[in-house]
Amino acid sequence: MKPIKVHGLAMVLVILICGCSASWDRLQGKVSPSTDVYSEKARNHEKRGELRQAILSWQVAAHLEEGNANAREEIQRLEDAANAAARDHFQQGLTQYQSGDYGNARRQFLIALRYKPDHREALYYVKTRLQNPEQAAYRVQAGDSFIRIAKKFYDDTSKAYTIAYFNDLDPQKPLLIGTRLLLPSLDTSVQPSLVPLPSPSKEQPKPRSNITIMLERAQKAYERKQYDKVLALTRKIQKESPGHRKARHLADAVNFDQGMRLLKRKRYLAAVEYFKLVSPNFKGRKQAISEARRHIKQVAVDEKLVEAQQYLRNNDWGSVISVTEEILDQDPDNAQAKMLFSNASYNLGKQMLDRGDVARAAALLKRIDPSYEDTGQLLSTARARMKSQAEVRYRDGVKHFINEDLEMAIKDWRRALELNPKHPKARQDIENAERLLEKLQTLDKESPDKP
Amino acid sequence: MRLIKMHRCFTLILLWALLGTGCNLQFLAGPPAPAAIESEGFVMVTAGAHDTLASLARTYLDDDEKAWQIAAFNSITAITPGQRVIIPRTPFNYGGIQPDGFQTVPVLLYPELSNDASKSKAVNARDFDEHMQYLNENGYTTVTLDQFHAFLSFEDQLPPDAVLISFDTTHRWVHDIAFPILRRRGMHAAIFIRLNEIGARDRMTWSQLAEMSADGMDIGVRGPRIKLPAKDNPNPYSEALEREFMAPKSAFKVNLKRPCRYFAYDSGASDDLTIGMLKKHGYRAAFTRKRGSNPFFADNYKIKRTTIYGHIDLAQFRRSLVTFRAAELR
Repeated sequence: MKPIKVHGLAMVLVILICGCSASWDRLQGKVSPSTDVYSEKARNHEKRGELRQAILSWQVAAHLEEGNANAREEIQRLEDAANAAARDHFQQGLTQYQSGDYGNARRQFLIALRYKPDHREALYYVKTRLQNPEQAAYRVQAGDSFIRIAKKFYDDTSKAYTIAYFNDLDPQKPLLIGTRLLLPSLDTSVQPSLVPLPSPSKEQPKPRSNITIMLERAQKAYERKQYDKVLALTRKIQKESPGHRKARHLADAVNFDQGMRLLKRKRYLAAVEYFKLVSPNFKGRKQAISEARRHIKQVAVDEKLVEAQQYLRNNDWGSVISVTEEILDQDPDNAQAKMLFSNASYNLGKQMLDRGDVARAAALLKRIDPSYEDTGQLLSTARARMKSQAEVRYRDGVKHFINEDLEMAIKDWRRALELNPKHPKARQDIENAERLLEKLQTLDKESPDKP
Repeated sequence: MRLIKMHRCFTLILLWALLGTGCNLQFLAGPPAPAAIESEGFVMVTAGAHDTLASLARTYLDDDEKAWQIAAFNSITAITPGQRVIIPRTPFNYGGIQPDGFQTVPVLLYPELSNDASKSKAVNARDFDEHMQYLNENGYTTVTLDQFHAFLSFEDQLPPDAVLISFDTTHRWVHDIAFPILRRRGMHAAIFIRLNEIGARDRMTWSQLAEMSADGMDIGVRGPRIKLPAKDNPNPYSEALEREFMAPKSAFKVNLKRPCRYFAYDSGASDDLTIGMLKKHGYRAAFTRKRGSNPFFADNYKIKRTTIYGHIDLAQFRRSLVTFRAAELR
C-alpha cells in the first residue's frame, strides 16, 4: 500500500505542477495569446468608425499568428477602404473650397485626415489655406526667386525674406517650381494681387498702337462697369508693357470701386481685400481702408454686445462681465458695454452677497458706480460683513493658538487678513506664530528623544 | 511484481510530466520578468506585479506622461498584474479627430492672482487652487507648450481633456502664488515674460524663472516690450520688430539654458509681418487674447486664449473648458 500512496502523492504533485504552471504561463503571456480577442477588438473599432485603431488591432492579430491570412486580408481591405475614402472626401473638399463653401470644405478635409492622417494635401488645406481663404496665393514658376516674387507682387525686393519666412521656407535655398506660396498682407507696401500678375515678358514690346487700342477698350469697359473685362485688358497691357501707368490706374480704379461697392453692402472684410489691391498712392485708398476697419471693429463690438445681451437675458452675469470687459478693454468709453457691465456686476455681486461670498461680492461691487441702484449700500453691507467675518476667523485663530495648534491658527489669521487687510492684530499674530512654529520645529529636530 | 510494475509506470509518468513542463519549474524560483512581444507598430506586454500604466509608458514610450495613450487604446483606466496590454508605438489619433467631432485645447490666461480678496480683477489664490483641483479631479491634463505645438503640427496626440494654463506677466505673484500650487499638484503652465522687467521691483528674477523652468514650467516671451515705430514707416518698424524677437533668444540661452520658442502678443493683435518675423526667429507659436478653444488646425501664430477673471465662479470656469467640438465627420 505504501508505494501506492507515494505514487498517488507524486501524481497529485505532477497534476499540480502542470496545472499551476499552465495557469502561470497564461499569466505570463508565454502561450500564444488568442488572436480572436484582437480580431474582435478590430471589428469593434471598425464599427465605431475608428479605422486606424482597427488596422492596428488586426496587425496585433497578424503578428501573434504568422499564418493568419484573414488578419492580413482585413488589414489590406481596411487600408484600401481608408485610402479610397480619404481620396473621395479630399476631392469633395477641394470642390467645396473652390466654390467658396469653406465650412463644408473643412469638414471634408477633416474626414480625409481621419481616414488617412498622412494625407498631406488635406492637411495643407485645413491647416494653411483655410486659415485665411482670401489670402493671395501664388504657385512658383520657372525662373522665379523670392526677390523676383517680391518685386512682382510688392514692388519691393526687401520683402523677399518676409515672403520666405512667412511660408516657413529658407530664403537662401532655391525655390522649387510648383511650390505654393501664401503672399503675406503687408500694410507697409503695395499689396499682392489676388490673381498673380504674369511674369514680365522677355519678348520685345508689341507695337504701341496695340496697347493704345487695348487701353481704349479698357477705358470704355470701365465706363460701362464691365470690371472683369477691364482687369483682363489691363493685365494684358501690363504683360506687354510692365509698369504701364494708365493701365495700373484703371486696374486700381476697378479695385477701388469694387471695394466701395462692398463697403456700401456692409461686406467690410471683403472690401478691405479689394482696397489692398489698389496702389498706396491712389486717392482715397487710405481713408477707405480706415473707414472699413472702423466698421469691422464696430461690427465686432456689436456682435459682442449682442452676445452680452443674450447672456444677460439668461441671467448668466459672469459671462456678461467677461464679454463687456473685453469690449471695454478695446473701447473704454462704450456706454452700452458700461451699462451692461454695471447691471451684471450689480446682480452677480448681490447674488454673491446673499450666499455669503462677501469678499468676492465686495470686489465686484467696488468696480461699479456706487450710485447704480443701491450699490453703495450693498458695498457697505459687504464690507461690514467682511469685517465681522474677519473677526470670527481671528477669534477661531486665537482658539487654535490656545490649543497649541499653531498651523491652524496661522491659517485662520491669514483668512482674517484676507477679509480685512487692516485687521489690527492678525498680521502681528501671524508673524509671532510663524516664529514660534519655526522654533518648535528646530527644537523637534534637535531633540535627542526624536525616534 | 504488480506493485513494482505500477511503481515503474508512475515513475515514467512523473518523468514524462517533469520533462514536458520542465521549464515551468523555474516559477519555484520566483516570477520572471513580464514577457513582451514587440513589433514595429506596437508592443504587447503582460503587466508585472509592480507595473503601472506610467511605468510601461516610461519603459516603452520613453515618457511616463504618455500613460493615457496606453489606457485609451486598451479602454482601461489602470492595469493589474497579469493583464495583457497593447502599447501603440506611434500616435493613433492625430489631431483628436473622431467620427463625431474633433478635439480642441482650451488655453486659459490668468491675468492676475492675489492673496488679497478685495482686489477686483485678480483671481484669489484659493480660487486658483480650486480651479486646479477641479482640473485634477475631473480628468483634465495640463500640457506643456512643446506638447501643444506637436498637437498643432499634427505630429503627436494629446490626452482627450488637455488644457494649457498661461500667465502673461513677469510679476512676482507667478512665482510666489501660482508656482507653489502648480508644483504641489504636479501641473504644467506657461509664463510669458517681459524681458526688460526681469529683476525690477515686484518682478521675478532670472533665478526664480530658472527654478520654475527646471520644475516643468514653460517660459515664453511677451511683447513688444518697447514702443514700436509707426507701421507707416516700414523699415524702422521691421527693424524694431527684428530686435524685439532676437533679444530673448540669447537671454534665454544664457539664463535659462533653454531656447525661446513661444510668444504672446501684448495687445493680443497680430499681423502677417509680425508672423513672418516670428517664424524667421524660430518661434513656434504665438498667443493672442481672442477667446476660444483651439483645434489642431488653428493658426499656430493666432492661438486663442480664454481670460479667467476674479469674478468667474466654478460653473463659469467649467464652461470655459471646451475640449471637444461636435461635427459630423463620418
